[in-house]
Amino acid sequence: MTRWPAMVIGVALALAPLGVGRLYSAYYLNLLTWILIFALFAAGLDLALGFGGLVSFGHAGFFGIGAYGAALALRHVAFSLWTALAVGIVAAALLAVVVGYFAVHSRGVYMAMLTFAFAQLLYEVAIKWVAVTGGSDGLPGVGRPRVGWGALALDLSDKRHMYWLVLAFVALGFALARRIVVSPFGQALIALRESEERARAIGIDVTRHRRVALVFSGALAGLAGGLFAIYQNFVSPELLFFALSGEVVVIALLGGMGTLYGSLVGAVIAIGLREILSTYTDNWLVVLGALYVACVMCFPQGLTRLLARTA
Amino acid sequence: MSLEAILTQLLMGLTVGVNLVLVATGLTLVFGMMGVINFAHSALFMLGAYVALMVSSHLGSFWLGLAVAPPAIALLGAAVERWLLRPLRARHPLSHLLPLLLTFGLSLFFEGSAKVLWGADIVSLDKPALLGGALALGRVTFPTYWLFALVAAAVLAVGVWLVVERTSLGLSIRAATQDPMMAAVLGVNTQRLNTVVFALGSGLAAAAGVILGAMTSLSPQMGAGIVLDAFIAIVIGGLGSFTGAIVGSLLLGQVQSFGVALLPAFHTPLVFLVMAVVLVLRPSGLFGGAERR
Repeated sequence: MTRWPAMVIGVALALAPLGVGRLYSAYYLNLLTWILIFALFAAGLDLALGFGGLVSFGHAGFFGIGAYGAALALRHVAFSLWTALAVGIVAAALLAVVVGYFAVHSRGVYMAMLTFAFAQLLYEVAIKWVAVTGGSDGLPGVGRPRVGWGALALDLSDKRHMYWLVLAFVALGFALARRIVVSPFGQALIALRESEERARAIGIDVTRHRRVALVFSGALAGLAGGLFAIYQNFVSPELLFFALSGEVVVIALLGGMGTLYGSLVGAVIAIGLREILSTYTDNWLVVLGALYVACVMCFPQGLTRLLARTA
Repeated sequence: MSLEAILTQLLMGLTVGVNLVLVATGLTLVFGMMGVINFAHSALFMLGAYVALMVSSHLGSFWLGLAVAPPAIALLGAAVERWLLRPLRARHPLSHLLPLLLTFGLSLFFEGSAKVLWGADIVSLDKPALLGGALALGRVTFPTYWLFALVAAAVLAVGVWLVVERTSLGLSIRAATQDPMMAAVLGVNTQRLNTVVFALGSGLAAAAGVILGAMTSLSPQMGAGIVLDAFIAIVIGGLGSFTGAIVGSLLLGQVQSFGVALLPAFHTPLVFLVMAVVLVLRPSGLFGGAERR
């Protein structure tokens, strides 16, 4: 994407809360917040999947541990947004170190299953360790902390303020991901995605690159999870469930892998459409499923590449 | 545990394990031949049970339902392979993820369709009176229907094993699993074979859906749990390996049966732990050869 469309989209997103009550209801702003968080989550996945060629089917593990980390930090450590997000990110990054240690040697579907197993283990822990996680009922939040000072403070119980905070972090996350991709490290990652043998031949440490990529990817997913915990003011084991891992893969694929910004397009379609369809018809699952099938059959490269071709 | 309790758990584990074989066979053969993880497998399992429910409630016979559902779902599977997966593969032969997304979409579509057609509530498929009650086997008493589920699934599983290991069709399947390109060069019609195998796997999943559906209950999400187990079983056994699917399924049946009895709170993590340990020690599963594709 060239610079202009990105800036236009950024400005439009930043101004979106001003239309609440005039052009649309707060419901849509809430939905947009949700979409942004999942776009960041999918961009994190894209870093591993689209750039590193790491087929993760357990990214809900990183997202969920980020969410639980943030929720537990708010409850037990300090009532501060920064502490909460930091704990969430660090927890997810540490998990990525552990998963990476075991998983990067396996390939393709096997790697998908191993990452899936780790996430599912965490899901079980969240359900069984009731004293800490609240079990299958989840953990109600302790409210949203204030951020900032004086007149510049954000009151996160205000939907618009929450939205702006999320938007700022998501923009930061995307910028960071973009920076990683264009860095020498990111270029090496793309090289080994294209051909592992050739990358190895020119001296790229394949294992180390894959592990580091997974840590970055997990940390971004952890940030998204932490934001989601604060946004929802509630965490539950669903955030670790494999259906969520599947959903985020769908988002990344729909938008177009290896593009980063495609995640935003994918999230708008997958989540926006699901929510809107479910308000109009009880049969939304049928429509959504048929739509996924149609997307795969008609625009297999992801929708962003289709747009790029017609533009 | 007493000897009787151990025997009961063994039998229960075997019942679950043999039915897992039916579900796992389709998954592993489809993966072996096409490199596709079929996410719609759970939906085919579920649709099998509902078709049997429809038939048995209209015609009043469980047996007719059991006879009609597997071929009906096999036809559906053949259509999915022929009209969706085959064109997709022709256009993007190297992609693992597109078929994954396609079958994920299909599973949502089928699940949604089941909700529309039969409602989202849990319903039950009545088993024939003949199979009610319990049977005494020596010192162990066992529900009659469980025994039926064990025997019926075992008969089907042995049938499939004979087809795969002893017929020329099975020879083609095994050849195409090892090396689809070479099999095609040697004159195997791999396109048609893919459709046949997909249909076979779908029909077997549907049969397991009917058998297990009557044992427990029917709901649009009923397939998720068992197909997840079948998945784990074939990963343990080695993706694409038919022998691996059988061994993995039977092993997982026992792990679950004894896990529930001995460590009731931890039997689910136990399953994932077994899988993770196997994968760390043998990244391609117990019977997985050198990784293909």
